[in-house]
Amino acid sequence: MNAMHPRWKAEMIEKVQPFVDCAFSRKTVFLFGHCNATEELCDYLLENHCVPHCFLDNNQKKQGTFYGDIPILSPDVISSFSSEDCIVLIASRFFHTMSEQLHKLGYEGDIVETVEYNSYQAFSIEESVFQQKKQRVLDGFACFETYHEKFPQRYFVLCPYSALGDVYLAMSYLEAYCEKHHIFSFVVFTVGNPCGEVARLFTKEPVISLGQKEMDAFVQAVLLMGIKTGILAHHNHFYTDSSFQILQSELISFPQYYRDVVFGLDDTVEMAVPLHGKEVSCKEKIPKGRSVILAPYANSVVEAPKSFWTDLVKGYQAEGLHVFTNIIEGQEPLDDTTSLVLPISEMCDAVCWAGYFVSLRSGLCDVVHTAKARKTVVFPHCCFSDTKHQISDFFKLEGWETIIL
Amino acid sequence: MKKENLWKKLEEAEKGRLFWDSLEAENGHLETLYLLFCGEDEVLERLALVHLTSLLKARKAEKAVILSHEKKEALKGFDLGDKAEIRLISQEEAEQILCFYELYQFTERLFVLSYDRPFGNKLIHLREKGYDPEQILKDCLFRLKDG
Repeated sequence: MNAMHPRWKAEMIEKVQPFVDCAFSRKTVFLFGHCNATEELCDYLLENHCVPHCFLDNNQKKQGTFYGDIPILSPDVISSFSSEDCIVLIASRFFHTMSEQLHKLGYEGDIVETVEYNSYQAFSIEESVFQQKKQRVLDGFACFETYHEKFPQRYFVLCPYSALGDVYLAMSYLEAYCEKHHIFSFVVFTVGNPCGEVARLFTKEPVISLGQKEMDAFVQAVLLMGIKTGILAHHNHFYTDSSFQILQSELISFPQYYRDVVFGLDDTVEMAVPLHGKEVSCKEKIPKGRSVILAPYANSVVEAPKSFWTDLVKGYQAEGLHVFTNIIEGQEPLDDTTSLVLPISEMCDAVCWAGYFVSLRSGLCDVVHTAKARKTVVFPHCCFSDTKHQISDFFKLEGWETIIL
Repeated sequence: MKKENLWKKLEEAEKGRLFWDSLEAENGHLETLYLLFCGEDEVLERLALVHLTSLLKARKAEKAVILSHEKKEALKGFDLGDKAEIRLISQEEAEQILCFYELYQFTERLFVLSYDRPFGNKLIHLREKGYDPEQILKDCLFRLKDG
């Protein structure tokens, strides 16, 4: 099974924590759906001295087996418990369907959706789900109205996910898109401040940073209303757009995908260069041309083995270079390196100044792509998403040295 | 963009929900796929029929219901057998389903045969780039990985 994404795991733990704190008020705990997510949830509960009664799973082949000491049983077993003494935890995209199943079995107790994988999706047409989604669109429309009043003539550019590389590419082609469609002013919406900072590298137009839930509601309102004075600038994830699946048979690189599919631009269009980056403010800490900045963390690809980075650090130190680890809050620097916490706006200049940059493939690589330095990108040897193409081909960076692990 | 339009869209979506519910009641819940023919591209619709058997196999579905608001030229000459049937619907009902779908993804069993609907669909850009309709259908709309 694939490991659960840290963001979802954190969300799951946050949702469950209040129940753990009160020991689930001594209720019998069921985990519905045996999968990697519920296994991780089970581990977390056990670490916190809460023992789930069992997993519930519709798969007959799993029923009667165990995860550790916890049995996997048919959902029917819940009928033999008093609803008010139970709580069911679900970590699945089929939350609504599973809830319906429990209700049909006569269960009327607590059901907790521990993680919402995709807020655009709910495989249910129940009235309650419809009302919930209707309210979300109303919230999204309120958000649209607020900004439409504030920026009445501007085109809306929605970068709907917290992904630095995606925002970078969206901004790289936005100018050409605006020129093609005679758009004279716009406002960019991002999720979170780091993505906002990336957008500001390219433009002096307004950039608004929203929370993910606010953005999701905004996007859903745009989809329902068919708002044509805006663009959803992202390479994947929208259920209304299946273009990304063309990668099943065609290799289109990440930048090319933005140019051709997201923006529908001609082959001749070049990526714009960010002009609004800032000079690095801590030059005194970084010996010019004799420093290497390592960036070992990424959300989009699996981590490289620790030994890889350890050997790299030793190698650079043997060459007499100063070694830094670029980190954000909550991340640890690599052993024997100095931590470097830099705003996005200074990253490119910092890499130019340092002279060397080595990074696991992440959006940060896009951010520093134009830095004049010796840059190396590290890829895991695996396919991109569910395609047959190597990650190193889809996310290839021209002019970079490449290491594939 | 006025709020009245939003209410109108939500009303359409509600009608779409009820219509979908009736379709499911007619055809069964888990084993049926629905192909919504939007009437915009005969070639795409004909290709959908050519690859329908592969789609049913890939999705482990028993049958497909083709939702169409007109008797299609594309359907002529195709023996759909007992694996597929045509359900004539009004254009309003087609719009209601699309509206409902644009409110949230309520199913994985709806396939909209269009390059630009539901809203946000960018297949039109692939078409403009010269990608073959059959490739677009197989890879993107039907997601038939093995070709």
